[in-house]
Amino acid sequence: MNYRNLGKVLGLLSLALLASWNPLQPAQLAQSAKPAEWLTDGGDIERTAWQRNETILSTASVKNMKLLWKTKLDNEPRQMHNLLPVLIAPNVKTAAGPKQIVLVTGVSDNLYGLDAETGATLWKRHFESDWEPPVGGGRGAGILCPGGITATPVIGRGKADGEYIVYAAAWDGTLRRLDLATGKEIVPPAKFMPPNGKPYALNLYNNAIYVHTAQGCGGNPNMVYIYDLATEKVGAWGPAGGGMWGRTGGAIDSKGVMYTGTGDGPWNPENGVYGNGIIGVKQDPVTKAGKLVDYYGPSNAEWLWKRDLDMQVSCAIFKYKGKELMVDAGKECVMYLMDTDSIGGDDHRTPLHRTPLYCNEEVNFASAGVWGSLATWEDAKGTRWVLSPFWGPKHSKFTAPIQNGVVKKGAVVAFKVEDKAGKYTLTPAWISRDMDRAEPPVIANGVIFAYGSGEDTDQAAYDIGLAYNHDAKNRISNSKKAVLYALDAQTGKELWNSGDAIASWSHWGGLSVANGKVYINTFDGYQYCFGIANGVAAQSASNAKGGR
Amino acid sequence: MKKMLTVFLVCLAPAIVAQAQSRDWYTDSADAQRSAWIRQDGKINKDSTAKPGNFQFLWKMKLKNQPKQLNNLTPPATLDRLIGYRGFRMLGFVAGSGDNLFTIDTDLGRMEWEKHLNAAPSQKASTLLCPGGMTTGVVRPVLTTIAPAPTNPLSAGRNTPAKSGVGESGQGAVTLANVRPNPPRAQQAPPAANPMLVQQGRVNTANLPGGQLGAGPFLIYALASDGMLHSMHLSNGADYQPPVKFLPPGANAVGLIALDQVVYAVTTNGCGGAANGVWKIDLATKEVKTWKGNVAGSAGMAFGADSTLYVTTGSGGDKPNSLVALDPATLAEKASFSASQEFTSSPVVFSHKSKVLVAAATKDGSIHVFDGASLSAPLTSSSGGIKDFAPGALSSWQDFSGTRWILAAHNGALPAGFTAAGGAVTKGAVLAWRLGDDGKLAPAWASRDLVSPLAPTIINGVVFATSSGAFGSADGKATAAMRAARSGKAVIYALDGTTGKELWNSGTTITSFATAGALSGGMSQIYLTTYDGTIYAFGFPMEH
Repeated sequence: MNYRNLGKVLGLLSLALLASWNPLQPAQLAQSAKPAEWLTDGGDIERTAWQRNETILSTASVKNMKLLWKTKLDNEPRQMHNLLPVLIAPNVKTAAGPKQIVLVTGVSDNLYGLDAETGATLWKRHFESDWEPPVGGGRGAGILCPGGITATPVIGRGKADGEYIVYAAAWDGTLRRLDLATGKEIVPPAKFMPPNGKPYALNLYNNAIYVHTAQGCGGNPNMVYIYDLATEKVGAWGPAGGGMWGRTGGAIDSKGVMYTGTGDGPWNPENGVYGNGIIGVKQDPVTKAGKLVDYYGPSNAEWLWKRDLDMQVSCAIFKYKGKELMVDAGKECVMYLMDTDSIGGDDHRTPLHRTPLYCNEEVNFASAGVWGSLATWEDAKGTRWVLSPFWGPKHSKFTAPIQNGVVKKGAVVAFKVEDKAGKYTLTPAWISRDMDRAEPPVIANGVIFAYGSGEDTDQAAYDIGLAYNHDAKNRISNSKKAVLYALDAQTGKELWNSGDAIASWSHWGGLSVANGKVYINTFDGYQYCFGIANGVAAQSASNAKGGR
Repeated sequence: MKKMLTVFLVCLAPAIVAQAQSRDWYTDSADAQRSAWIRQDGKINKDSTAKPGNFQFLWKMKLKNQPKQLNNLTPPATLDRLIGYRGFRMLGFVAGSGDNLFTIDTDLGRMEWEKHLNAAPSQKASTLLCPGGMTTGVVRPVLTTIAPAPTNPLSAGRNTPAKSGVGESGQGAVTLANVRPNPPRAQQAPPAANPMLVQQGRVNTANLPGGQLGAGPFLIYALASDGMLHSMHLSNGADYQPPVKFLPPGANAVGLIALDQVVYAVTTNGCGGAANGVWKIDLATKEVKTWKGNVAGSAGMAFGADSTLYVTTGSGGDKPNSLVALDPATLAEKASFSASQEFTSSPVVFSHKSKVLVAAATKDGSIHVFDGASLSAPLTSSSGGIKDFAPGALSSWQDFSGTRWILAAHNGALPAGFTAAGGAVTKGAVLAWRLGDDGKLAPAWASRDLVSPLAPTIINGVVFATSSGAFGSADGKATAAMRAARSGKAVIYALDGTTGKELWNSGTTITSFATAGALSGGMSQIYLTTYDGTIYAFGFPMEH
């Protein structure tokens, strides 16, 4: 497709359409709009993974969950990637009437709009481009640089009900904008970032798209990018360490600062080097450049670098007793609690609280520690909870008041945020059952949904070392099956699981939840939807019990 | 994450190999040249080591091993970074005289794995000269390439400072300006083979010397008391191949070293009925070759950059009092030099002004320097004047200004020409010679007083000298027990490599004496093993 011609054709149309749309922030919508939405990875700009507006799923109703549908998509996998976490928009104004649309992203530059009720494919968009991938199609580093789309798109809501714009970063580095109802590109692709990089989930705040990149894929530096939709200017900041690779992307606080952990590298802020720490970047309101506004380096950052214990987890931000707090973690398996007013204190090395190690006693760089993202929610009593998935066994010295069995392959651990005489702490509350590579959970109405991905996450073998990870075939052949779990958010007790309903494993599949449905996808190209068949009845039951 | 790093490293394979050579301790005296020199280090330098409270005791581990006479643990071979199935590791591989292997996570002082080699029990009595058991250390494969001497301090990677930027409207990010177009498809070569794995003439692309990148396997070697050579995966000690017959049981092996597909060792003292000399086993064919001679020194043979093998001999045997160059494949003599008296150190090889030089000591206290390409006569010899000079091994390094230094441990009062850098010397010292621009070897400095000093180790310009505390006696009737009873405690000293000035010492931390070779080190830490079966680590504390 020749986009110069497309631009001429669509120019006036797109300007008119954009002028009528007001891309509100996903978080604003999640807290105000009903029925529920999931417009960005992690549910909101703060990456809480908390579906606040769920009413159908509850601790009482989830026992009735079942597989509602599964849809095989024709996306071609790349390395271990296939589908990315879905986004959900209800009441999308389509030619066939309002529909709840599930936006599925395929790594091979494909987007799909599915009907949430049936799983039927409403539309498919493959991103055409004049850019040609390198020979072999990859980015030179195998599994970690798969090529294609690696960032979960973000959906902005238009001014009128039922109108949504999908923002996506294509393999060629351009920003794509689509009408969610039709999948059609509404403006020509815009120059955004270098092609062939590895961006992570997009975020949308104040009419700007935020993203960070990692792994040096395609030979590109690891950067934060901010695309200002009004001026079409792209701000940048970086590089930082081995990249910023929190899987759910950057989390944005109430002041518009995007925070993310940084991968391996020296921590030397005096010289502008920020490896193995956490950075906060904000758009300059005038120039639109990305500006570093705060940073935190764990006191053992040198150790983290030496042992490849990246700070590679997406932060989660929340309000607590009038303060805005943030949590993050990394492979080391320690969680940090921070105040967004100053995440590392005066010396940039002192968080509000640092938990003990809760896993990764072996000090492994793969198959152990915290990966992906965190989650947080607040219960009806005002208790603030923070959740962390982790891989591998629980640390032998870590305990929680409630432990739901022996943990060997992974679990979810829950902490309560507590204010003890002005000192903020994370107090262990419960540890879930064993899950084979526990992935980031989501919360809906008092229920934690988590899953064991079943993925072989090893990156080295005793005999061939890292060569084990040179070829995805090794890991693919040793991966098993994903299992989805519903847990009581107060205790971690298992309420339901998907059994053997899921036939493959999941790498970067991620969970999304809205309106009585939980979505997960797998390497074999299937999009699964679990939920309650008679959602209305369950909703009534839930409401009767005062579930939130 | 580190996968990306690995790809980057693989692209820079030749440089990485050279660097890896200079930062790890592969075999006795560190490398194939027996230099005992770790060329660069991110933390150890004169200033940091001298700063009070900076360089310090980190950990010690008592290992379960049965001593044989005065032998217990060997200095560890090191691996600065294993990207292994259990994580990133900095490892030390220690051999115990009781046929035991210990692999230690040297960051944490934590056992990574240990293994007992099931050797057939010896039928011969253990003596001081023929102690039996494992007598030589665990080794990692090493290249004979002589890494270039550094001219600048080491700097860490990923140091590009972060910057802010903004692109012009509609032009995307500023980083787009740096994007290079893909080469035309028709002209693009197929993906390059991993340069770490393909070397001309290699029989087996596995087991690359010098590092653990590529596709592996990554091995260590150990020689058990029964003469069987064990090749094992370094990540967990699992056998790579069944043990192979290399030496006669009970041989007193020193200087075990593994090159590409060949392992060498030296045997001494006629132990176990093994002829004294140089032994070689081809790992592909399992063929064993021998060159007979009364090899001198404690570190075995040294290799030139072209893999020529150099050994020195003492009195007696087929080739007495000689420096001999051997063909590494056939062990045939290529050249030799016969001295008027016995050699008393293993040779050390180094590059100097485009030549490969070989240095060795003789009993009169002279250090002789030869052109490795021609052993017809020494290029220079230091003045002697030392009675029964027997350093066992020499050490050598080059400072940033290009000055070449040769060091040796010496027992007794200082010889003429040397001035102690710290007080009177009565028991012993480390002596340093400087190879001047005139090609002459001249005394430079002597250390403070040391008791039975071990061969020194040099790390980034800092000389680590060990006052071993061992009781030295020429009385052949003095048993190991008697010697142990009269021995003291080891103390390590860090010295300025250019002046001998004391920068640091280990004080009273070490509670036994040491008998093994040069202490090993690398990656900002040093390791000493002692008679009581303890390994000590010193370095800079790091919060874990």
